[in-house]
Amino acid sequence: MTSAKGAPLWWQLFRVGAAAGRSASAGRARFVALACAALAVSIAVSTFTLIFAAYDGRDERGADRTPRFAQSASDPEARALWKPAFDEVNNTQFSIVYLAPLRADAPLPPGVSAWPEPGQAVLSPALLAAGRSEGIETRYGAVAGTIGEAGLASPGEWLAYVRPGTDLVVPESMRPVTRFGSFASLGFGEAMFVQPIRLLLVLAAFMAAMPAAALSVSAARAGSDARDQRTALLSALGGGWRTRAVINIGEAAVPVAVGALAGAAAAAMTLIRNTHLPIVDFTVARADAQHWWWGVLGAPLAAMVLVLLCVVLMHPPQRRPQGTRPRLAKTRLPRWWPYLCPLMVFVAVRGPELAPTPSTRLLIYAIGVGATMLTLPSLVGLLAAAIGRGLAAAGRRTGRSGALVAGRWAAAWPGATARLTAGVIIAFVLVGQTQLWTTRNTGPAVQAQQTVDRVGSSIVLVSHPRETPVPQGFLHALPPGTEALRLKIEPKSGHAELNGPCEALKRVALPCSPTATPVELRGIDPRLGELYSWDTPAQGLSARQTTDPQGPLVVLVGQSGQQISVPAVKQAANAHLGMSVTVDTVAGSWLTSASMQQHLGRWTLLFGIFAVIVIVIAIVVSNLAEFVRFSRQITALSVLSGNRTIYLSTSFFALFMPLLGASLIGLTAHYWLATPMTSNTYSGGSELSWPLLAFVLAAATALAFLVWLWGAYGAVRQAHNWRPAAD
Amino acid sequence: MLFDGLDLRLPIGESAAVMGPSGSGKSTLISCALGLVKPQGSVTVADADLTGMRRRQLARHRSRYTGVVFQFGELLPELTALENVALAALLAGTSRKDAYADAERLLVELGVPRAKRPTGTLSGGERQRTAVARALINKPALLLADEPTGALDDTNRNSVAELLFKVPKQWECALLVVTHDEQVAMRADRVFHLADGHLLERSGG
Repeated sequence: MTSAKGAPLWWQLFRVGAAAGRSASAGRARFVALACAALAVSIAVSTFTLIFAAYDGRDERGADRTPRFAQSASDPEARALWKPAFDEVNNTQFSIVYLAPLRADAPLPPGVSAWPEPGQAVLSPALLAAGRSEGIETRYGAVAGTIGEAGLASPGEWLAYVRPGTDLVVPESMRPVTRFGSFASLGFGEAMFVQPIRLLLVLAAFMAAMPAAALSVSAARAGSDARDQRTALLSALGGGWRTRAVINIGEAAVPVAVGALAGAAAAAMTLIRNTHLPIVDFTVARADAQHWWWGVLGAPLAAMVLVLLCVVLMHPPQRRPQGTRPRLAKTRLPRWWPYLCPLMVFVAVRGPELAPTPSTRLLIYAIGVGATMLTLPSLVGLLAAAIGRGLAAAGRRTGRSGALVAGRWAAAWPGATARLTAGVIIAFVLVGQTQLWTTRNTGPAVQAQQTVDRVGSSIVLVSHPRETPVPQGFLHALPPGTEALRLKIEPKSGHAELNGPCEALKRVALPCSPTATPVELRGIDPRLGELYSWDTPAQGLSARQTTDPQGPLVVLVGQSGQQISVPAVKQAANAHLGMSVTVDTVAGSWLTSASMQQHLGRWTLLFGIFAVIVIVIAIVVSNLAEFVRFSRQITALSVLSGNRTIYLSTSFFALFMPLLGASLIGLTAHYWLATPMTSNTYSGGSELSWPLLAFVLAAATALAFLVWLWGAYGAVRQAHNWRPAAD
Repeated sequence: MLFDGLDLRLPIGESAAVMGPSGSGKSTLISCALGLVKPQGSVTVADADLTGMRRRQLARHRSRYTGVVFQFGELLPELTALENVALAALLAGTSRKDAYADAERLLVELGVPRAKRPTGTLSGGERQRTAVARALINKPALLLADEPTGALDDTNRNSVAELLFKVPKQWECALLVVTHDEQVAMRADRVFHLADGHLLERSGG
């Protein structure tokens, strides 16, 4: 189908749409919104691709470094010994692998270029960087080199290959290996500490794809009144859905393309270099992204198609409105609905205390928070109308025209203010809740933290695998002033005995007697109190002086109140005691497991922050468009009176104040709703992160400021182009 | 070229109506009088030429000397009639007390009794009277009306037109009405036709 001029009709319609986009009143806000939507969708689609790419790459490299085992060390094929173990840095656990060659042609795992000498180790670069403060470069002996990316699950993986000193190799505790490389990954290293892929996919669906979809809808509908009119007109002129679609696409094509281009640039970066993700401290390997290059580069294209499809679907044929008066929405919530909100806040904050079991507490809390979020917008609407009336009255009393106009508007259309305010409040509470849930500790972890706060590393426990004397080399290598006792537990009675030299017993105020003396627990050294409650069955404790201490747990104590350097103890243990010796503070392992949980929870936080940013953009965009539509009413008046400051003041009252107010209400609401989580009522241990909240508040204020000026600027620009047009 | 050798003088106390087909440039003529469009030649309002003025100066001059009544009133539906009228005075820098007092008096004089109700609830005639009051509140030397009765029914059309054409004598200003409506135009002291860029005065108008 071609027109008289020769250009095809669809092209002409496309250009009509593009021209309409340039001249639309809320055009700039919509432009930015559509571009942001395309970028957000592109990021969401890329995220799915990169999740698959990262897991795929991890599995592949995991298989490459998985050893093929021989039947026994005497097997002629056996060429090396292999033993996985765990260690931790900053309460974060990671894998270490002990390796010892059996023959000169012993194979090396991928990423390791040469055999380290006995008592040396090869570390991953990320572990080397993160563990410096804990002396990782000497913990397993000297560092002989770093593991290349080919041998790592991801570039940021913490991993160490350790070749123990010759005297510490215990062949029977290690497995003989013929070579590295298998069909499937054995799953040691990073694979043991990450979320299952389905969980990440669910997170990406709910916290990336859904908000991006919401932003797309909001952007597509921004300033829709004029387009709905056009749609109705086109329908009346006989234009079918194809005509409407082409015009709508023409209008949205440029901004969507701009957003998709930004998405493509971001996607391309993942192909060019390793991408470090903040908060979760995970690095996406360039190689993995390159392996899935079609998905990574297809994401922006898919985003473009999806957003344009959304634009088309969001402009269905319009029925001509009957009459010109605005009509009330058909579905209205009951009158009492807003008043439920304070009640629900009460349920969330005080309800859990009344519940009998932890699971009911959790349920009541979740219901309370959810219902608060559902009822809040209508309460905010009521408040907005009331505040609007107050503002208008004040504006009238003081002669402030901006307050008068914005107040009357808010009172007449509280929905607009409610959407803006409630959206921000909900976003605020969402971020806060995400942060609270991810830092939520279970009961033992809370107590563990309290123990660590009380005694820290003034008492350190070292497992000694055999009932053999502790080598003198180890004792000499300990930090000066450290004394060693051993803890023995009677298997039948559960009675615990601390035995060792008198010097060491005196250090923790225990009597020096060659016969076992029961210890009075009241007034006991706090270090022993914690040891007793965490590491014994609490069936009594006695002390015995001996030059030949025995027991599977070596208890190291420093001078009163002095902290012992755990890294130094680990280094000594690795050098003198053997492979995979556990070195820990009292209750420290509980904290490590809690810390690992929090680590996983940070993924929720990362996605949560993305979701909130996208949702806030969606809210702001729809409100900016609404404000520009509203400010159009004062255009003629402001042009005639030569007064443009009214836009600054109306925008101040209509956009800045609600946004700032919403942030403060959100902060308060969050603080209230967080009470049961931070107190011990629910399970305790969640921490309110004040820096995070301060950051969110500052960001919200900056956003409010930006939106204020943007709204005013849009309105002024509109006024600048105004001409009387009754012709 | 939209206009060619256009020449129109309008003294205080006099009214003129300009008629013409759609697209003949009636609204552009209003834009010229407001200084929003600057033609070659001069546009003088209250002894000052708008074409040489800077933006700020022009805005000040416009707010001081010109008032406009639009076809659809261009009032804020959420505000009361009183507030709509007072707002124009407030924006022009009048004190709050004077703005509301003047607005109230004007609305009474122009026959808008329900001045304290939201403008959206008023009848078309009341809205247009409110628009006239708003245009007059800053005591303009020139009142422009762009299709002021275009959106009204017959009864309201007549009453608003009657009110409008009394304005020049009562409030000492000049009135320029742009309209399609012959019956409205006939009430003016002078009637012009705008066609092919020329302004032709109808004799005996």
